[in-house]
Amino acid sequence: MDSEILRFLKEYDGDVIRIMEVCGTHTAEISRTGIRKMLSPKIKLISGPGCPVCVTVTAYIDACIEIAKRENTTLVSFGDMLRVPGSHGSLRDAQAEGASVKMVYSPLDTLKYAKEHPETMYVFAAVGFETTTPVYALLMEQILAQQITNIKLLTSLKVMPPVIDWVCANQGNVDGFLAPGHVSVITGSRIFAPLAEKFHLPFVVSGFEGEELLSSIYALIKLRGQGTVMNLYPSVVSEEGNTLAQAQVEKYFTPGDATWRGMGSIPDSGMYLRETYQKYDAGSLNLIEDHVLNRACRCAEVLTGKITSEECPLFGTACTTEHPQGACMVSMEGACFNHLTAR
Amino acid sequence: MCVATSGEVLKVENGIAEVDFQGNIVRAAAGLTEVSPGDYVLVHAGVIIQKVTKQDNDIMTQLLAEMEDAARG
Repeated sequence: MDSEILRFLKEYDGDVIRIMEVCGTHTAEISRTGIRKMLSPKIKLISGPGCPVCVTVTAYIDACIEIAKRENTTLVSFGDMLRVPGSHGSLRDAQAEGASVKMVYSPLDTLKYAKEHPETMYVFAAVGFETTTPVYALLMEQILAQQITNIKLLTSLKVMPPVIDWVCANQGNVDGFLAPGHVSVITGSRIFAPLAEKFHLPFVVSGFEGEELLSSIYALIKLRGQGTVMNLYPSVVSEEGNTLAQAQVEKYFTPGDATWRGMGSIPDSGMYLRETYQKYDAGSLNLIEDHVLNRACRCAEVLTGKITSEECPLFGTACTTEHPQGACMVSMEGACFNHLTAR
Repeated sequence: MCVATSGEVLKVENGIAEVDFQGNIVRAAAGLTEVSPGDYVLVHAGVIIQKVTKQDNDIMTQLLAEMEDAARG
């Protein structure tokens, strides 16, 4: 990497600049590579709401648990979701008490189970951002094509632009964004242009390698105050994104208000099955309650970049990767998990 | 959760591709982008979401290995 850039980043002495990443994989990579130690103290990297598991409210986890306890019903999920605390325990706790929970690598694996056990209803805990929603669209395509009647989705699907808008409008202390890499693969880099213009902030689409992240941070400093989008990951992310995936999402899902942990309801920040396909929905609407397991937990403020993980009084003491008190410590993409494991 | 890994497509049959992740052969749905054997692709949750260059594939393979090492402690 250009040593001039490295020196600039280490010796930067301008106004303090706060750069937010809104991608769990970026969060993990920044911690793993120790990038913070390569930067001037005047360059602050803060983690935003980029981990879909972390922003899921407890009402959703509670609904998953209730479904998993039903007779002849199995709740199917990605592994990340199993340890997230609901109001009264996690899916893993429920599983230990006899609830039927199955972990899969791909939502499409559910098709095989459903065909093998037609007497069982399989409900997929469909959590994710723009990267994952097309996968659920593909699952819907197969459910219809194969005329499968024993799969439903409990959705908690979210989209990034409205929550970035919320952070800019309510926090107001971010000077630039590392735009989420794999979300951008689907949406294209152009999706961030209206936000860049509205808030006069730069967005840089970044790769995941340490050098790519450092280059992106450098670009954000140089672009400070400019409402522009720069794509520094052009070999993977195009301006228009994956249009076929976008069309599939449009076919099955429609935008609607969604509740985010710590932020409340944000208009049109969620995606729900269209009216035509509501018979495949397992009760995704109105899951808005967010019960805090430990009153001292400050996940909500960590998620919005208001405080750092280290500023939470539970961090590394009552809240650890073995005994997480909040979702940010559960997920491998969570800010607290990464800050703690990087120490 | 948005983690995607890249590998090389070995063959495609009935919308399902066999993808080589460093010798680990995994089946992935090819319904969101057109792919052919020899293409390098990005796979998320069992679905191919994009084609990538070989250079990006090599970088992401290394990154994933490093993240797994870090997760193991």
